Formats: sequence, C-alpha cells, structure tokens
Amino acid sequence: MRAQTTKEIWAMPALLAALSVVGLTVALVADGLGDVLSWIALAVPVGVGTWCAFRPEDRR
Amino acid sequence: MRASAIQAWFVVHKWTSLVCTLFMLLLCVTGLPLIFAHEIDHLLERSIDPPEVAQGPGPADVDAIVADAQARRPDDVVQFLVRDPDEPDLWFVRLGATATAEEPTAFYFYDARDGSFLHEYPVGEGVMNVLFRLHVDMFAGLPGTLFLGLMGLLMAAAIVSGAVLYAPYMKKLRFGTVRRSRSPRLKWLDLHNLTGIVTMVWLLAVGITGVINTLAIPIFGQWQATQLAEMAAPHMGEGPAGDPGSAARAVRAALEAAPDMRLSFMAFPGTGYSTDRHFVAMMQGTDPLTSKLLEPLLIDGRTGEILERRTLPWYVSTLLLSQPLHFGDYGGMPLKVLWALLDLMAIVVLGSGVYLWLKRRHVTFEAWLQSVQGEAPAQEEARKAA
Repeated sequence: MRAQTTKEIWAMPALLAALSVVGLTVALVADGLGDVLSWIALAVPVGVGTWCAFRPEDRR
Repeated sequence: MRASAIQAWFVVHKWTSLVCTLFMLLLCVTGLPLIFAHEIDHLLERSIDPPEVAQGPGPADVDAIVADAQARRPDDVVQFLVRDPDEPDLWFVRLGATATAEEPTAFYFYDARDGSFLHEYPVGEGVMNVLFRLHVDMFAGLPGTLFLGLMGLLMAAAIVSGAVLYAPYMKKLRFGTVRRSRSPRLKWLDLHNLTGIVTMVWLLAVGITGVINTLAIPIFGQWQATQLAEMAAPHMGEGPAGDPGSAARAVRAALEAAPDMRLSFMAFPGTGYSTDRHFVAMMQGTDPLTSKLLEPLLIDGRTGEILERRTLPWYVSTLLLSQPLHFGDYGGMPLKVLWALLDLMAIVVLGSGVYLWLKRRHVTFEAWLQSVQGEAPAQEEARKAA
C-alpha cells in the first residue's frame, strides 16, 4: 500500500472523535432526543472499533 | 515527522503509560460495576424504592424525620438532609460521628409522604463498598485520591502521545487494519492502536473529569475558606451559636425563595458546608444542565430568613459538571451500557499495552519504527525466531 497522507490517516479518527464529543455533551444539555442522539453518536466509535477488531483480515 | 521527534513521543508514551497502567487497570476494572452502582444497590436490596401508596397524608414533617434519625443514633450528628430528583417520595438523612466527618456513620431512607422510616443504607459494607474505595482512594484517604489523580494526568499524557504516534504508525495501514495472520505481537499492536484511537476522546474525557473529581475535597475547601466565609461573615454576630432552629422551616424557606428550583441537599450547622449556626440549602435547577449545578442559600433556621444567596464559583461548577461526565449517569441505561463497553475497550488498550511492552522491551527503536510503519519486519521476526 502507498503511504497515506495525513488527511487520509486522520479522516476516520477525526470523525469518531467528533462523534464522541457530540455523544458526551448532548445528553448533558438536553433530555429525550438529546439522550438518543448521545447514544447514537457514542455507539458509532464502539461499533466501528468492535467491527474492525473482529472482522476477517483484509488480505489485499 | 522526523524520526527523532517520533522517538521522543515514543519515550513519553512508554514511560507515562508504564507508570500509570496498573492503576488505570484497577480503575477500569473497579469502575465497570460502579457504572451500575444504582442498579446493583437495588438488586442487592442495599437501596429500596418507596412503597406504593394510594395517597399519603401530605408532605412529611421534616423536623420529625430529623428527630427520628437523631434518636436512632443519639451519639452522632445529623449532617445532611438529601433529596434525589428521581425519588421525590424519599428523604435521606446522613449522620456522622462529628458534624465535619468526611465519612457518614449512617444513611437513612424516609418516606417523604408520611415521614416513616423505610431503610438504612449499609454504609461502608459489602463488595460494592470495597470496589468504591479501591476506585476512589485505594483505602488510603485523601493522599490515595490525589495519587490516583496524578496517575490520571499521566494517562492523559499517554493518550496524547499515543495519538501523536498513531499517524506514523498508520502511514501504510488502512484505518482499522488488524494484521491477524502475522505474529501475535503485530496483531496486538494493531488492536492496541485501533482500540486506543477509537476510545481516545471518551477516555480523555473520563480521565480528566476523574482527575477533577480527585480534587473534590480541596475544591470545596477553597469555596468554604473564601465564598462561604464571606457569606457567613455578616451574620456571625447574631446571637449565640446555640439552637440553630428548625430544619423544616429552613427547607420551606429555601423552596419559597427559589420556587423554580429543587433542594439537592441541606447542610446542617457545623458541617463545613454551612456555618456553626446556620443551615445552607444547596438548590439545583430543573433542566438537564442546571440540575447538575448547585446554588447555596444561607438560612437562619430560627426565623426562616434567607440571609445570603449566591451562585457557586466556576471551579466548583466545573467539579459538579465533571461528576456526570465521569460517571456516565446522565443519559439513561443505554448511556451506561455504552460507558461499560468503552470501559471494556479501555481495558483492551491497557492490557495490550502491557503485553506489547513485555514483548518489545528488547527491540531497538529503529526496528520498532520499521515494524509500525508497515515495512516487512523481517529482521525482527528473524530475531524473534532465533
């Protein structure tokens, strides 16, 4: 694989970090819909991490 | 990034991690059940729900509740009357060996409708208490708490340096790659980086709010020494510090003065959160954010007069907002489950970090850099085989 640019390396981590920030704060300032948004936002990094850890190895 | 810069960050990551990892593992493992402390307490009947009744005789007499609690432990001092916004039918009474004692001797549940005694929380007993103490101070009091705070700061440094190392490491690896079929060390290196980067923001948030929580006693001490003292100063000459008056009257006065707020807890005279002759009612807001904050009212229990009212300084509010962000108790059960899953992933980060250190202690930095940048680590593999 060719070397990735900094942007390529950080695209996914930055997205997950942003979702984590949203997930941590929204439920703190709003109930109801705010809680649901938090669950969804925090579930993404958990889901992505779990999926990558357990999926079969990509052998390209 | 130049190799020398990467090496410097690597050294920071290695040493900050090495020092704090065992303590962080302890905190993650003990913290896992503590996320569900409320549910576990109810399951083990350490806590109870108020009984279902058709219609109570109206709000209970708070003074009668206080008198009952005092009669149950005549040698102790009533410290706080506590409410829980999720349990409007309960009053809680906390007693201590002295007014200023940090640890309670008893925590009683009373029915807020008829004033009857319902339950005593098993203070300082059981497995949950052991887990709590291990998590908060390792049975070493304030020094233990502050030590864990220092370890938390090291973990924050380890997370930041780990994130810096993530970029050179991923240069030739797609996000989420786990090289399972090479060597166990490579597999766990990939898993360490994956789980580390995925939990980065959450672990930083829980770590830093945890560090702030370790400063709770100094933070409240600062407030007591400055703002509370200022609130109290104009009123300390008003008669001898004898009978402080009626707690019920103080509660009524507080609720009348702040009709759009709820009582969080009321500090009895002499507790350090009040004066030796006045009550302090800590009021909380009713919307999600303001319900985490407090506003103190200084109250004369003999007259029911509100003597002072002011908002808490920024550093106490920071502490109060750090608590939910550390506990994960502000978004219902799904948020607690996510907290637990992220905690488990953090355990993977820590455990794999220890494993990698044990495995690569004898690997030179150059060999490590080569391996992490996705070059075929032939030399290293050969050395390991030898």
